[in-house]
Amino acid sequence: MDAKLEKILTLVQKPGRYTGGELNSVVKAVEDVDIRFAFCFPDTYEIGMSHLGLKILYSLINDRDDSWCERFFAPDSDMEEQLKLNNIPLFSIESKTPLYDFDVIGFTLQYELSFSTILNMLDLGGVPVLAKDRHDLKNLVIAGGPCASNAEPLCDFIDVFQLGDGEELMNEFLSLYHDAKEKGMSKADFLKEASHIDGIYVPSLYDVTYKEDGTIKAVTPKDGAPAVIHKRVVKDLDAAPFPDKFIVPFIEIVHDRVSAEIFRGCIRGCRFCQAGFIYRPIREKSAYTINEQAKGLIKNTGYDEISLVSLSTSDYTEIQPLLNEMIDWTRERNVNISLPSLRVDNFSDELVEKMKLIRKSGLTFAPEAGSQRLRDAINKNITEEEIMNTVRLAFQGGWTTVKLYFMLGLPTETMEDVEEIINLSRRIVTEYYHTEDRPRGKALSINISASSFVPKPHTPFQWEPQDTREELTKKRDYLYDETRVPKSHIHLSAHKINTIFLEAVFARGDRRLGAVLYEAWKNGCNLDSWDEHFKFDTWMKAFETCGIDPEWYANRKREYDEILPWDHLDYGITKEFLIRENEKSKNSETTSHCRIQCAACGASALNGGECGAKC
Amino acid sequence: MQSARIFFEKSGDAKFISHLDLMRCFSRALIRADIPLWYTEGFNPRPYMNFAMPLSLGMEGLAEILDIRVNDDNLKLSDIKDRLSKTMPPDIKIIDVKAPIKKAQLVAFSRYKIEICQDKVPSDKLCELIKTTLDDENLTISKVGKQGKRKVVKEIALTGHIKDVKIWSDNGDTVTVLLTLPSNPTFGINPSILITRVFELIDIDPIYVHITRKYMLDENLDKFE
Repeated sequence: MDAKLEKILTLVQKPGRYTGGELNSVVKAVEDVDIRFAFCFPDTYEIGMSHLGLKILYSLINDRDDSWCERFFAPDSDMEEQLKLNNIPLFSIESKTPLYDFDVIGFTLQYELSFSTILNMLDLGGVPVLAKDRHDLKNLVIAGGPCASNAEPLCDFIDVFQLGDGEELMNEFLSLYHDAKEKGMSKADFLKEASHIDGIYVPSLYDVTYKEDGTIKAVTPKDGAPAVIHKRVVKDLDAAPFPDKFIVPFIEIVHDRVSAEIFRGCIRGCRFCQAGFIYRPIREKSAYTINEQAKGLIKNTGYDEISLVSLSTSDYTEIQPLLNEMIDWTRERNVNISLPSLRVDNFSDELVEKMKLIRKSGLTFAPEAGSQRLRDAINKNITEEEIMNTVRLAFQGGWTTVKLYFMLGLPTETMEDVEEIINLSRRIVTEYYHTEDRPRGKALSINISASSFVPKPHTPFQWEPQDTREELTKKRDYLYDETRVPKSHIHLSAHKINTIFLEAVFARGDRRLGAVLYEAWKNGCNLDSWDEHFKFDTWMKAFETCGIDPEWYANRKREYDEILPWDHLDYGITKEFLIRENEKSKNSETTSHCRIQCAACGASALNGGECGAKC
Repeated sequence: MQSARIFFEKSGDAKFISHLDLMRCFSRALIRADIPLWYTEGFNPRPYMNFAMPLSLGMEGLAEILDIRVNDDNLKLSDIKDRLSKTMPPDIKIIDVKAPIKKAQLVAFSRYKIEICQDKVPSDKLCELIKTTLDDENLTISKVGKQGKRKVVKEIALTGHIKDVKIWSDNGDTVTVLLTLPSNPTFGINPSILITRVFELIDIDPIYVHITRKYMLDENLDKFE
């Protein structure tokens, strides 16, 4: 290691974030590969290393003989200061190579508030931030992940977006890049070629014009680029590439365990939930594959915990057989199983029995809304009775801490709905004291987490305004007042409203926000999802400087016939379906989940007409 | 149940791994190696693992010690060494696995190698300056200790505590210091604090200082086994 680098590592917090050398990290010889790929996660090491997508793509790219994928994370502020002070460019974890030496630079877009960090990482890595300032095929900046479903605010900075599942798409893309590099193709020619791969969106090949009222007039493709880009779908998860090894970090990361993906997509169709729509159609992995992969990963990592990952674990059709099998071999090896994302409507006795065998962690449920009317309007499809049954089962099973997720500012919400959050929590407390065989000697704790609703693209609520900051503050303060009562057993944690507002602006933003992003970053915005780094005033000044009204993006109701910035990005869900769902929400009408009745969302079209819900 | 003492090297990137992270790293490596560890019998059973005098962050160690207990009495120590060697991350190497002779708490001293790179004064001159400073009877370091809950800074006199000093310069700007310092559960001197103090006194800012613990010793200054 370079002496200068070694010295700064002694001056920063958690140097283990930057040093690498972890078990199962991949080191290749530079001369053996043609493509050097920088996988960049625009957040700190602990967050980025917890991400399953990174693990999948890292192993997939490194399985190619022609490529070497290395990792980059956002340095924390102390490290950034040292890097700048010592003129050290942002370097890869594996070989400590500067970012500007990489052929392809790939960012994962997990949340809108990481956008400024992308600009910062490029800049720290000596790579021009604006796509138009990068003229060569080298330093091609690509991005994928859920926020690529409305990539528009990033169009000034990113050359290529990959839409949908990356497993097949990445390989096709890299093969094309390999050929292009060999032939000495220009960046412009390569981009045109790439735009013909299904799932590849090259933003520079589209012109966007605007009407006088600020809405979009037209999105026009150029140079033979397709008018609509369809996201990619991996058909068979059993056959899809999945790593047999995970990198095992030295330092503790957020999800420090084996993650076993059990299915992709969701049958539920909660109207606020972007993940519930953009990952459709549902595709399950077989219990056999999951078990085999999990066993292999435990063996190769030495982890003592497996987390079953999906959008709604208890909806997995083979959950009982999977757990039966898994509990046998995990107990023998002192390995714990964690089951995140449980629903209250199928939290069964048997599941509780199974969970008792697993080491006890907290139980978290997401009613999302306090009143039945509002739960119906958002299509949560759970009843109060189901919530009560579940908490009773949980209390009987020995749990005394229950965490409940709620959202403020959902479409059609009134103050009565907000009051119902408190009433529901109180009824749960009462339920506890009426449960005869409740656990004794431990204090009851109902932890409610109140986030705020952010309207997201490709959901039935994509046209809806976000509550103004004033309205959200009023609702949140009401909850604070009602829960700050001694012996209520109810504890509230609420999200920062300014953060949520900015998220809403960018979630449904268009290309004009690129200028704001650039301006805000220039003035020091970075790592916005961290409270200690979030500079709301700087953001608001950037909007002002660029002459853009953020409220027009966050708090404006869109008409159905408005051209939305992401309309040319097809995630399989039809607009007709989304409109139907939006209309139903106004009358608090629910839609059954996909296994009861197909709601004709349209997603199966991208999967050759097949849908794993098989209703 | 048998006890095994693992001697390992922690170098390269791994020197930036903290003690807590190192413990987690070993417990996972032992699981990967399928070595049947003896678990403690508490409410939350954990594998028994005991490191002798953990290294400070940023220092390399050439013969660090970890004691474990293994449930299988027939498992040969050489097998433990072979299996564990295959499951360790690259910068932590298993040197040997032996049956412990003395209890780990009986480590009394550590032998350190300190390499210094600077460009302010000729290396010969620096050797002399360091030697004079270390020989000074009035040399002290400040140590942050605790008195109840209060943090107090104590000045520790070093006379008689620094043993077997060797100083030389091989080539160019590098000066090497070998010395033995107390390192036991009740009293220890951190070589990094010592060398920082020395450079304060001779008023030189080195480019880098690289500290390696070569091995640990018992109270008779014999190599710890």
